[in-house]
Amino acid sequence: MHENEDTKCCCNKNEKDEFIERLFLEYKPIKDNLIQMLNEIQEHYGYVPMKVQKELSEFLSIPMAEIYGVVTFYSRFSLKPKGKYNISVCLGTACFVKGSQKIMDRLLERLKIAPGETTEDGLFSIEETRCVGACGLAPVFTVNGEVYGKATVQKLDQVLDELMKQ
Amino acid sequence: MKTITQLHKIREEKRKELDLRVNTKADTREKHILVCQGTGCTSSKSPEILETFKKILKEKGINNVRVIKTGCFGLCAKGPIVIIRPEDTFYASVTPEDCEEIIRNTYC
Amino acid sequence: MKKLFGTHIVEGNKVERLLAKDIDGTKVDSLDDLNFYKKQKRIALKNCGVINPEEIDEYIAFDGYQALEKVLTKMSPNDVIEEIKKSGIRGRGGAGFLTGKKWELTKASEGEQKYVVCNADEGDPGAFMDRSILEGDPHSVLEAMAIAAYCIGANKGYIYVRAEYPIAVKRLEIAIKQARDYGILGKHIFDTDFDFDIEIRLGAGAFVCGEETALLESIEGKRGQPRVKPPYPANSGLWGKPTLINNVETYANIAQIILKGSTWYSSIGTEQSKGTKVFALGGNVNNIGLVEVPMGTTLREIVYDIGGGIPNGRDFKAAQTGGPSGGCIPKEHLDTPIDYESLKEIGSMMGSGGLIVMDDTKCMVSLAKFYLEFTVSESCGKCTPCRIGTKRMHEILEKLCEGKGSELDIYKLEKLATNIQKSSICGLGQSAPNPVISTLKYFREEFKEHAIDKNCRALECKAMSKITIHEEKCKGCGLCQKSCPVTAIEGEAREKRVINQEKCIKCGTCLTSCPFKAIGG
Repeated sequence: MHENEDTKCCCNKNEKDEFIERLFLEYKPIKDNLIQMLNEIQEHYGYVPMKVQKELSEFLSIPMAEIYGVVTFYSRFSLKPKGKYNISVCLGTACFVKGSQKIMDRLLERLKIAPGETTEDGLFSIEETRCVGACGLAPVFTVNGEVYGKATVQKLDQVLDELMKQ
Repeated sequence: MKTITQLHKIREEKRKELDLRVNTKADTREKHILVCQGTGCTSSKSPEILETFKKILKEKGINNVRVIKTGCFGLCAKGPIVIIRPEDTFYASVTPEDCEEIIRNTYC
Repeated sequence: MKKLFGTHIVEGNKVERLLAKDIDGTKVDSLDDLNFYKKQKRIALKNCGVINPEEIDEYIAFDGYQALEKVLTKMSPNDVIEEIKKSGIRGRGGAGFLTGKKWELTKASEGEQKYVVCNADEGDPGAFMDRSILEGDPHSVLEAMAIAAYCIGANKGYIYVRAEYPIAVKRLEIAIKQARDYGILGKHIFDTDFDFDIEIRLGAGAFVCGEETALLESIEGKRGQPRVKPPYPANSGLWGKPTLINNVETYANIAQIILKGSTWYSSIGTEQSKGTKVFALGGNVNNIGLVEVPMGTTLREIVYDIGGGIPNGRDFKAAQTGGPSGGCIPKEHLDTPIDYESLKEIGSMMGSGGLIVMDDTKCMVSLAKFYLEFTVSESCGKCTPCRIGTKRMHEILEKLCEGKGSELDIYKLEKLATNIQKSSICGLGQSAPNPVISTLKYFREEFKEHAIDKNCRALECKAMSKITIHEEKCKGCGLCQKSCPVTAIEGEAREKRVINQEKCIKCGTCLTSCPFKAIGG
């Protein structure tokens, strides 16, 4: 598991990449900055590589176990890379009442993976999200951040079919 | 840095300038097109609407109409929302394709 | 005629087809004519839709930072706290604690270093009040935090905002920079001894971090697990120092209370619940959106007068307030005034302002299960009653929705609910059973139907619902057939259609597409 992530995230295992270097210059090495830095790391890589966790641990003088504890506590941080198309279905109450669970069920049926997982070919990953604040367009699903409002099972099928063709 | 006196001056001048936002009988030839840029409307292309308005106004050389980005008007189900001041015209479900027509009707 | 002609020229024309319409189809010329706005009173949302939130001068134009100036140059901290207390404003985050009292307690705490925090971790699904205030009028929060800091003796503030709100974060960053440029944040504000600056801290997707002590843990870079209270943050908060934490909407009211006075504010609302409340109206209602009404407005007025009623000709079944910590309000309580006490009395709570309306196609057992799912996944795990108890409750609800439950399960649910409420450490656990308790209270029949008859009357629980086309009502229009994503509906043009039960995935799309209500259980 670790090997895969390490080779996926950086070209050279021994060198810190530019992003990390810039990050460590921007933030003071105090414990309070952990979550802020993790947010930027998640944004940049799409997940939090184990290698980066090790570097953070040294930089902030926090044990690896604690960093791992924080990464696994918050739902925004993932240990595995997302798919090329990250599909997020909003299961917030406003969307739920408008039938977003049916959209999620259809998505699970078609891709045959569970929320939080990525398909074998790395094409799709599924996420559950709790309210993106676009309740006026309920129900909502997003693909790589692009919002599809007033969604239906048919719309989802259409979007999936198009993405699979590419 | 601004002193208290400077802030008072800004307040006075700006309030006059923006009277048309809250007063339908404001004494002005200017018009403001307010485009909601809350998350809901943004997901329905309201930034594109904003940019399209600006582009058309520039192309036509219209100077007395301003396009303003603003917060949530509240009627999210009918977004994107555009409001014209001072006359308080309230447009719903606007698309970037509607911008030209709105400007034609608003400008005089 | 001349006068009319003159007015026409100045006002220009209107694009008729785009004009916003009222629910009954009447076009309106002005905002104030829309039924949606008639019963609203915008105090917290005063500037939203009026100013450009990225221009500090526009905020200043409409009395911005005038309250801060008044406070710093003409009032003592005690004067301000008295005004806030007299106004009667209560915390808008959900608990409804008297704001003035909170400020007073934090001021009284001993300590050189104190903090002011804004809770912008709006986690309730379906709530977007705070997001709209931050996106539309961020300066109102900054100004209020500065006023609060002056009162309690703090010089540093933090705004803890969800990372899922990138637009709000951006607007806050711009506002803070502009305020600093003008010297309104920083040292010697308005040439006084008062220093104050604000930093943004991003959340990371944990609902529990909306709980004030979990929020503090998160700012400190740790897992967001709530602390045992007492001590309360007013005495021991961020890094052990006295900390004032208030919600975004609470702050959004402060400047106007200072400028217009506590008498003005306390004249709005009810005896115990002063002022207005912002609600995010969602679900099965026509006018989905953001509304601000005086406390004491009834639920009926919000759902029907402002919300425009239920779409598709369906009936009102229940409204949920308070999100996963709240309860549902059934038809018989539609005339309940919305205020802290009245909602508590009927088994719900104000909450942060999410108000979800449900029609008769909603299964209440499934709704309870939905809220428990959320709570189970968001439980921080620190205390057993919440960590294990909510999971057990969820399992029972799952059984009921799959048609595998029994009447004994209902008894178990009630017992679990009481235990979890009484022994959880924080608000999340203590209120987790609320949705179950309130749906059981008002919709006990539905639970019994699931448990004993193995029937879901709303046709939502797939395992127990069979969707059929009622022959006598079917007109053969074929709209259902067109809408079916798995072509499970059979029949030729103009013939009555039939559902092939083996192909049917029970998604319910056909149900909503039928204009003759011919499809049901």
